[in-house]
Amino acid sequence: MIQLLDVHKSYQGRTVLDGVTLEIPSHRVFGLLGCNGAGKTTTLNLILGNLVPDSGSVAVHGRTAYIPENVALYGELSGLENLVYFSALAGVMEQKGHFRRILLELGLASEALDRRAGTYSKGMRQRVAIAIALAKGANVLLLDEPTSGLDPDAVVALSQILRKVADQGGAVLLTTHDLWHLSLDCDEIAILHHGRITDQFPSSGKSANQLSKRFMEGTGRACQ
Amino acid sequence: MRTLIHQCAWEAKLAFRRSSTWVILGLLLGAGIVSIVLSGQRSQARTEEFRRLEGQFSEQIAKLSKRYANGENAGYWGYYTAFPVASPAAPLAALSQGVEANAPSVNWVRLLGIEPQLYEGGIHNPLLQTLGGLDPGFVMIVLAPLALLLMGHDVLSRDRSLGVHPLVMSHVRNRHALIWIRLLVRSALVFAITALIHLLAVFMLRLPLDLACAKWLLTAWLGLLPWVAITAVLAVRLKSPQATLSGALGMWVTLVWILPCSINLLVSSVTDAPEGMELTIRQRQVMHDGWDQDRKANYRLFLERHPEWRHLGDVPAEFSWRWYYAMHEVADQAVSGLAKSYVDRLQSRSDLARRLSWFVPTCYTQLLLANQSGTDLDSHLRHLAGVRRFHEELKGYFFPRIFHDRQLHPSDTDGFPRHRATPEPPSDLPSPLPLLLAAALPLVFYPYRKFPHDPTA
Repeated sequence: MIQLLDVHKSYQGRTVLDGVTLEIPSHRVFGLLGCNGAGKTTTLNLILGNLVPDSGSVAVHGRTAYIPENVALYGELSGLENLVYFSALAGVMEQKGHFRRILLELGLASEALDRRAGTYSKGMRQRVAIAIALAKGANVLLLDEPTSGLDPDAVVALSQILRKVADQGGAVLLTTHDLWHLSLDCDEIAILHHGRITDQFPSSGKSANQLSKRFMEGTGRACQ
Repeated sequence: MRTLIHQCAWEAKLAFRRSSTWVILGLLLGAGIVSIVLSGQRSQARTEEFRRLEGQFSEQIAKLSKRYANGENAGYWGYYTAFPVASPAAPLAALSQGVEANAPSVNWVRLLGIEPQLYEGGIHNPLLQTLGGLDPGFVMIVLAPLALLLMGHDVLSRDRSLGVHPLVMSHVRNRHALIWIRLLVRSALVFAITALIHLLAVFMLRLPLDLACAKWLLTAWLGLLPWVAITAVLAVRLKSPQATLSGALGMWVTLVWILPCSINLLVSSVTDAPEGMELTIRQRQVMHDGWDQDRKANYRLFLERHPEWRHLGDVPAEFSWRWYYAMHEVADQAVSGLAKSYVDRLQSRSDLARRLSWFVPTCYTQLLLANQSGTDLDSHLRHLAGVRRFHEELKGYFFPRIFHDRQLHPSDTDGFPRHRATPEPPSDLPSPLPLLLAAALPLVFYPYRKFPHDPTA
């Protein structure tokens, strides 16, 4: 569903991506691991179409949705209203009951639906953001550091949601530093270092420690 | 279309959930109501004054009729009678004070020299650049643009400060459309409040609800269009709410205060005009000198301009009404060039100000609103010209009677000329084209193709 082929991207003479090739099919949760400045956000922006590669190609077959690291919602609207509002932005018009069901399915407590989103925890906001993505029919989810700042329960809940999306035929690309989360969720992992994919492997059966070792090897043992 | 309406409804909902929206719209409405009340008081005072003038004139005639019950020289009647010349306010005058804010109204005229009576107060600032008192026009020209800027400057930057920007940008189908929908919805709220203020003004001030009234509101809205365009450019070009707010306030101060004041200064310095008081003093000087001069010589100056009275011969050496009124006429003649120059300069100031206001939408809107309210400089000058014509009418009635030493009786007062107090029709409406151009100009700087900020940044 997502295909990057020998993608190069530079900003003001500085190479950010240097020949990145990635393929993420449907039914997959794909983890992109890398140090700060490795080029993860640039990769997401290229997939979202916010940036154009200097060379190479980016192809996305599906409807994308981006969920930033810190999901912010309109605090003056309720979670449900946020969902309806963002769906309206995406041109989706449904009955409120439909949106209510999506939020409930994603585990948002029913008492929280009509509460102002300004009172929500990070995990709750993230669920609303995923609901927004699902409501507009997105089958390609791009998540930037989704577990940062989440409590363990929320991380587990998020994992279940992402797995469900993949199982339903979607493709999930997440960037993270959280090796435990990667080991838990991802079907495949790529390590991005200085704009290059230095390693790519299936994550099945690998513990967080094994991943850590591989990450250190992939990044030359230094995140600088 | 249904999706568009749905999105507009949600943008309105989002706007109404913000307390700042209520504060801005509430303050605008409050200022509008205060302006209507103040305009109503001014309007009421003017109407009462207009009625009082008639009463005072009748009282005056009654006193003179008692004093001169057996008849008296027409010169006495001419000297002691002041004729009301106030014009009733134009139907929409209460909406925009225009030049009335700083020009004295001429309510009475006597048979004496006309020039000082017309220009005694002078018009120190005849231009329409001064913003005048608080009236509905002021609200439309000064406060509504501020409300527009405050409501619309953060259509994008607020998302950024809330952190919701990446989510919005990744879901919205057309980013430019989102900005314009938000801006137009928020602008529509300001437009709605101005319409409400206008309606309240119509009912509270008992204005005629007709085409002219509707045109006044449309003109005010037209004057707001450049501000919508300016807000759009600021909102897209600048990144943070602080930057957009600073930019918005900077534009407001520049276009509402700095540029109009600069134009005012420029026009005043370029078209140096003798002030009304100077003209009045010069006329009175000639008058006072006349008392010390040889009366016959003085009268001969009058005859040079008025040979139709030559057949009556010279005036006697002692006081005579014929000499007295001739002396006033001579004093008027002495400053006639100055008076003409004064009016010409006022007119040229007005013309220059009008041309310069093409470049300042605030000034141009004020020009249009004052024009439609019948309170612009042209209306004022037409009133003065009407008073001058009436003074000629007075002379046409009194001079033959005075110069032939006729007596007038109380019964003659019914035949005294009276000023016909008809409201001045507005002059030709200036073209609204400059406002349309002013609305289009900022859009040159709108980034149509490239969206300026990285959405995930």
